[in-house]
Amino acid sequence: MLEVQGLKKTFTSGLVSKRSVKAVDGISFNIADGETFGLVGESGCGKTTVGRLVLRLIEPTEGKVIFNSIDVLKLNKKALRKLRPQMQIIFQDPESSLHPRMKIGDIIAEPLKLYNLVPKANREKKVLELIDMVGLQPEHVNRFPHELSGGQSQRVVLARVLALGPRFIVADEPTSSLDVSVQAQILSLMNTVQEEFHFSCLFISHDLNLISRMTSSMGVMYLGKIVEAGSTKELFEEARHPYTRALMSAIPIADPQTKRKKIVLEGEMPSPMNPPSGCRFHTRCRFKEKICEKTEPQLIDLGEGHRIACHLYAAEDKRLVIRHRVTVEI
Amino acid sequence: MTLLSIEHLNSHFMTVDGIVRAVDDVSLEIGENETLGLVGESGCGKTVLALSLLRLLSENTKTDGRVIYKGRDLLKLNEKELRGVRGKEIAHIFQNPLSSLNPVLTVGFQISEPFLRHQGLKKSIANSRAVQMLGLVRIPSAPDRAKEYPHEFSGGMRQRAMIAMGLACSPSLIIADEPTRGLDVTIQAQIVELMKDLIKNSGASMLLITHDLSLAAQLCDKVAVMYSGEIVEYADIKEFFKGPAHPYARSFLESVPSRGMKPIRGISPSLINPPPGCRFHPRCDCSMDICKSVHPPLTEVKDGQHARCLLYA
Repeated sequence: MLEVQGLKKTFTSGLVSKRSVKAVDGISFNIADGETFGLVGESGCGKTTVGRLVLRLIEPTEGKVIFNSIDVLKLNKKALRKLRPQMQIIFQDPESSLHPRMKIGDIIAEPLKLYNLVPKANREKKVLELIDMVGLQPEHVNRFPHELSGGQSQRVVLARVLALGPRFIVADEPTSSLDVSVQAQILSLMNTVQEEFHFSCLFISHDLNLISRMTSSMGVMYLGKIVEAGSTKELFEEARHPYTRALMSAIPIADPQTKRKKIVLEGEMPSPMNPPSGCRFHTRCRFKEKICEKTEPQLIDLGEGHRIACHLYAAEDKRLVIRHRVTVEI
Repeated sequence: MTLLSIEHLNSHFMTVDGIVRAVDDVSLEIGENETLGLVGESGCGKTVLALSLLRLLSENTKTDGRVIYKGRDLLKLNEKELRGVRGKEIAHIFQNPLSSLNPVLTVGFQISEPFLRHQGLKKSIANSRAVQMLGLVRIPSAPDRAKEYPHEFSGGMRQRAMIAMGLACSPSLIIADEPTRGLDVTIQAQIVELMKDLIKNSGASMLLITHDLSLAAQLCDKVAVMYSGEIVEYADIKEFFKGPAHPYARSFLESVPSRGMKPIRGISPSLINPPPGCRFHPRCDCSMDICKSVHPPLTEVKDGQHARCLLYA
């Protein structure tokens, strides 16, 4: 359904002394029809940028995005506009995604009007249908965004997206500003509508608990690169990359009885302006070898789509894997 | 031994729309060496409760009740006496460190302020104590970092600086309001480990305000759940996670992603005009007819576990 290959984005700033940041540096993944792919990573790793590049909300520097065998990056403006209804995005902050001076009904009717998907006479009926589908009441049609709570606003955003009957949705931290009980409402609603409309989804989040609940396959990003990817089940059962392992062990558990050995990473993520040489994670990695400082590890396939970029698993050097296993067992 | 006892505390805001009952008849106790978690969703009044203790709220607030700290009622102290308590006896670590740190003063100076103010130390000594504090919260190359400004710090480091400032005068009670909000999971894990160590070593008590039950699970001895301005459950942390008694507390826990991600229907009630009877009844699966009219008291369900629910009355 969606194929992303070697996606790159370099932002440059400064007039005289140009500085550049490789926000996204060669990312590839596929999303099957009706599947949800999760992209997880800490703030500043470039996951949001990936979401926008895929939809061409910002222009990628390099790479390929194939959507339903259409090369999205080669389309001209007009063709892209035609494709837009099929590719939609839900942003982080629902309140700022809604026009403050438009009524909810008009907000949801707007895409229908723009793309003329529904004849004028039926628009109101369609809006009410959508409102009902996302669990709002008919009286909300005449309200303004400031009269709604965060959860209700996100429902409106979802209704507006669904109005276009998209085949693919990017959900960029759709619940990060919501309370847990409301988050649970919104995410279960997303699951329901996804079953009904059968769209694919790129689910971007920093919260591994959500990724495990919402996605079937996932990629872990660190400083603009995917360091490990595979089926969500496999990664949660057997994460291999030292960074993924540390992330997994840092997942907060809501139970004081569960004792678990935590891998607390030292230090913080280096600046993407000046990423470390070799493997970008080597400055915080417990299993750092000499080679990690010099050579950048390539993504290799461990079988069944489990991909990893780490020298410990590089095919030619089995010795390291063994040493790694021993250390882990201790 | 009880260190702080909150008795029938009310904090009401007088607004044009009516009286906002942000904290409504709350009674709680924090023992020595104890960490109490005050958990709830946004708008339940947990931050207002914390701010009421040191009287940090704006003038349109009406606060009454009693806040007894070491035999003195904090609500009756005058400004001067209160200044002697703030930062020295009871420290408040605010949420959002970027807006709580002064952007035009160095981090080192801001941490040295409590030493100058409360302990009357000389400037040079206060400075070196500030550097020590930064080292204590594990900021690398602390002497250099102390000379930097808040914008030069990362989010995690700012939070560490806030903690250092709070701990500066070895307070007996620390009020920490969402200390890990907005931080990445790996940084969150660092801060949690740090706070665990510091609390253990200093022997201070803590009131931890959070919406994150897993944070409470990691740090607290006891937990109080707040809903619509009231405490609806109060229990030992282990008992609570074994099975909350109050239907809201139960649903709240079940809505956590790792606990099932089950949504709670409806939305939080308004604090101006809360539902009559039990405030949770419109969203409660166990609600009975009586819940619509009778306001339930906080009753003991089993040893140490209290719930505000008519199922147990």
